[in-house]
Amino acid sequence: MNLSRRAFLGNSAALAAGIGFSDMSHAATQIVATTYPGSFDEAFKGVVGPAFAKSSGGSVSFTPLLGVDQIGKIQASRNAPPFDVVLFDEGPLVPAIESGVLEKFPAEKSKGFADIPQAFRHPDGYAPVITVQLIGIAYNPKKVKTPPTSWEDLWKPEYKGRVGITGLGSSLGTAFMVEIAKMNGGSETNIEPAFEAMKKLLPNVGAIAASPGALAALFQQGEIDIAFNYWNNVALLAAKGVDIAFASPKTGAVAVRSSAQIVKNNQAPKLVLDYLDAVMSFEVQKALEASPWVMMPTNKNVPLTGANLTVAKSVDDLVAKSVLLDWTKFQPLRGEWITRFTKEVRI
Amino acid sequence: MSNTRGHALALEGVGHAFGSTIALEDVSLSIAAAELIALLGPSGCGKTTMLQIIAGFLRPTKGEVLFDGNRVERIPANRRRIGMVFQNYALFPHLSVFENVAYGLRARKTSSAIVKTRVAEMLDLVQMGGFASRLPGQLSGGQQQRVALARALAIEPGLVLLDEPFSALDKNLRLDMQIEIKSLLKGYGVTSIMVTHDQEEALSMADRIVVLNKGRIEQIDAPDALYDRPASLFVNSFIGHANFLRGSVTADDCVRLAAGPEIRLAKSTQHCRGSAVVLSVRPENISLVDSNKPGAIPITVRATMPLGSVNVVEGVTPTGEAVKINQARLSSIAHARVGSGAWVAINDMTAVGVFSAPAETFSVNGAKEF
Amino acid sequence: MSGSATHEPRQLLPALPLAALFLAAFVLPLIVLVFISLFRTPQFLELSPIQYVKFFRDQFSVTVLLETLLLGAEVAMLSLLLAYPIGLAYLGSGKIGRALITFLIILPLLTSSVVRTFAWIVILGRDGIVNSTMLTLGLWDSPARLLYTWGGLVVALTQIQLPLMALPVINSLLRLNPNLVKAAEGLGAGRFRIFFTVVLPLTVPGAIAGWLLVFAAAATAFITQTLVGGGRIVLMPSYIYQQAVGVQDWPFSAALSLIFTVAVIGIVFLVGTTSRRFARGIDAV
Repeated sequence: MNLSRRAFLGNSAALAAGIGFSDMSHAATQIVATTYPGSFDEAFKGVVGPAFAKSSGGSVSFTPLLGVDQIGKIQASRNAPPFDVVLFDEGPLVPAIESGVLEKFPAEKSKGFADIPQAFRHPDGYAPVITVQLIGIAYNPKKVKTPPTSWEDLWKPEYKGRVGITGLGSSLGTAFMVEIAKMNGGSETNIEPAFEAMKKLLPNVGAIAASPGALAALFQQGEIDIAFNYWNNVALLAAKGVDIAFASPKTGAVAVRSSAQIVKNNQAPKLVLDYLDAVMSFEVQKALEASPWVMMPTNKNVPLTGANLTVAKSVDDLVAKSVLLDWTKFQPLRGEWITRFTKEVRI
Repeated sequence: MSNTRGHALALEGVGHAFGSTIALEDVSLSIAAAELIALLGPSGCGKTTMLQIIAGFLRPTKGEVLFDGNRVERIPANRRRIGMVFQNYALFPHLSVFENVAYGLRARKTSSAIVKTRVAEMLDLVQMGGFASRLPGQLSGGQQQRVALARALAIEPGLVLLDEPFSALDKNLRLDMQIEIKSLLKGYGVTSIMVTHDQEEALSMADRIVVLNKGRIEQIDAPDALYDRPASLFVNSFIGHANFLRGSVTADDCVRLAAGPEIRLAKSTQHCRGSAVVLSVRPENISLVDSNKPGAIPITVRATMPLGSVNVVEGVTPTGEAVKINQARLSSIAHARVGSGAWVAINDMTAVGVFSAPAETFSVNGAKEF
Repeated sequence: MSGSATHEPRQLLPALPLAALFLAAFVLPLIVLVFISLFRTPQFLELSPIQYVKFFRDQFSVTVLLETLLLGAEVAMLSLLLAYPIGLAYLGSGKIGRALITFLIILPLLTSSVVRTFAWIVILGRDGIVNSTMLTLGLWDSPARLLYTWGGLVVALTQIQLPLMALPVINSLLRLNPNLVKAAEGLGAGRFRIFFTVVLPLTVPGAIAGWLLVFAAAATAFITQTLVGGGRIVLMPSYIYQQAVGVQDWPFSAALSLIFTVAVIGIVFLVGTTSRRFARGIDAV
């Protein structure tokens, strides 16, 4: 028996749903775009929505979803997808492209594409990166007196029981493990040294969080004092008065590139392009960069300000300083890694 | 064993109130060992409260409870050694007949050998020896009743309390069980107190009956005495049937009935001349007579009922008082026809009760039909 | 009149919408799940029962299942231990007391389990109420780890699921003939004897109903397990989620779901029937 996965998923979902509950007929003046739950969603609703309405005359409805959940939903209804634009980290983007649910980006028609540096353009012609999530070391400055300078600092005996980690289900945990593997003689495909290093880290591990958000919350609860984490999470918590600070390791913070991608068979190709142009535009990127969102811009003309200036001087500097990983190499291995992490990394 | 193994019981000035509702008021009573007492009264009269107090499930708000002269108000129910038989028997439905009867013995940590013999002895006593392994649900009402009694007696109680013990039984079975239980209790020689609202049950079983009304004792007496010499209009109406005839005192020993004739009493009354009274006459103490008989009362016949051994005639006086006559079948001197007039007269003036008329119109709803 | 012997179609008509919903929302997805679980690889190539073999050969997966069932059983037991005192207090209370107890039992049901779970995070956290109290009183010299521990999870789940136990237990206690308790007391039994020989055996149906509800609810409580247990404690619900969403191994996660469903239903069935037989066994002595 050789049944294609997407055909099967499509059929089984239709079977399960009977007639299908998805909204198949949104008007052509409205598009549906996904965001990530949390501050990301708030920022897009607050900044991108109004800007898009102004520039295109259309409107956008936002649905917060985790990257991996989106693929299944589109596959379940390929001919009338529930979203027009989807948001992916580098990792989930790989299977999304493979499954054929995405359309390439019409760069020649785009107004904003010229301002995006090469590192943030997709090598195969899919839509470009719209924001970057930096991964470094978050720590409680009240408990950790000398700011950490390297990933290895997490292994210091003085942090016994105070280190927080999260699994490979997130881009955060995956990027960290790949960096640790590289640091210990492994590579983007050889994760073995990272697992060995994790075993040595276990005495220091105070909590294993279920997600990056939960990992950030652990600082708030005082459960941990040091952990790898997203710059954006740290900046948002610090702005709320939580004792948390961010340090880039001397090897460079890892940049996880997030892109908004066009769904095949979407209802309004013109509006979708307008939407992507709006997201890439100077005005929107500048607003997203500012407080309280402090999202890293990818439009090279947007100057960095405030807290963002503490990690990079400009978008070009960000590209130069950050570690970029080739997720196409290890994304297919991630499933196995996730399961292995769950089994082996236990306290 | 002697046949007076029971406690003597005394209540002295016992009262109980639930919040502001007074359930029992200043009740005093003494019961001899091995006596069988019935607490009789309409619902809400306080009889159940009294039983709960004696059993130890309620602590009286005032007064003393004495077993053989010792105060027990502060002794909890589970240390009073009282055998209790409940209205619906309250057999443990999940335990066999054997285990039900053994329950009290096991609670007293009796050795299993003794439990075995004692339970067998008790089951034989109530003729339930062959049912030891049955569950209560598999028994008839009468059988459950016997088991409940065996369970109560197994702990060799100083006192057996029975709460409406026959109310769940068929009317036919009831009399048989009354006779049986009475002889068992008497034969066993235990002091017993049963609560009932059924005067027949009380009359047929008890040595003495305590009539309660509104939390007070109306009368304590032997069944005959209660019937023949009720101390109050309430007792009179509650025990047996009575005809109530209104009148007013005209002389020391004379009452003029509202219905017509003046009647001479057997002895002089304590009521002052002119005061309103009620004469109570039992149906068997009144007969149909000729119109010229002295003291004859005119009635209109409403119904006649030939009930086998007796004929019952119901009539109404010109003043609207209902009159019931029980007449031996043979003495059908006068034939009453429904709707026609007739005359009745009192047979024996010594068995007539004279009570002062209550302030409000006296209702005979409390009276029981035979 | 409408005994179980006569199943006239018209009498069953009102149950039709529920039956349809049950079919569409439970039975059909379950069938799809069975189908998915029978593929050899996440690419849906080739039918094979390999996922089930993989599960039972994998010590880790089997342990996750057993620990999840153990969690359900522990929470159900603890709830049972707490429900009886609550029920007895209810029975012994007046009108106002009963209303208050009912309100306190119902109250948690009126808040979302997410809110209740976060409340437990606040209570059990390193700087939480328990730790700060114990430290202030000088009973502990350093904050204890309560959150993200097995014990903390059991306690939090017990509080959250307690209404499911307390309500059936109270209902059974209310239906218990109070004269049975008086009879036992009159026969000389003390409180404990009365409880264990009369009250407990006669309220077993309520206790079992509550036990099964709490067991199933606690074993499958994804949110509370994840938030209070953290990433440290891996249980079936989060394992299934991870395999489906994180690893994208649908066949294996479908197999996990089915094994878990069968295990929970199996235990519910097993406990239900054996306890009923046990109850009949008491009756038949």
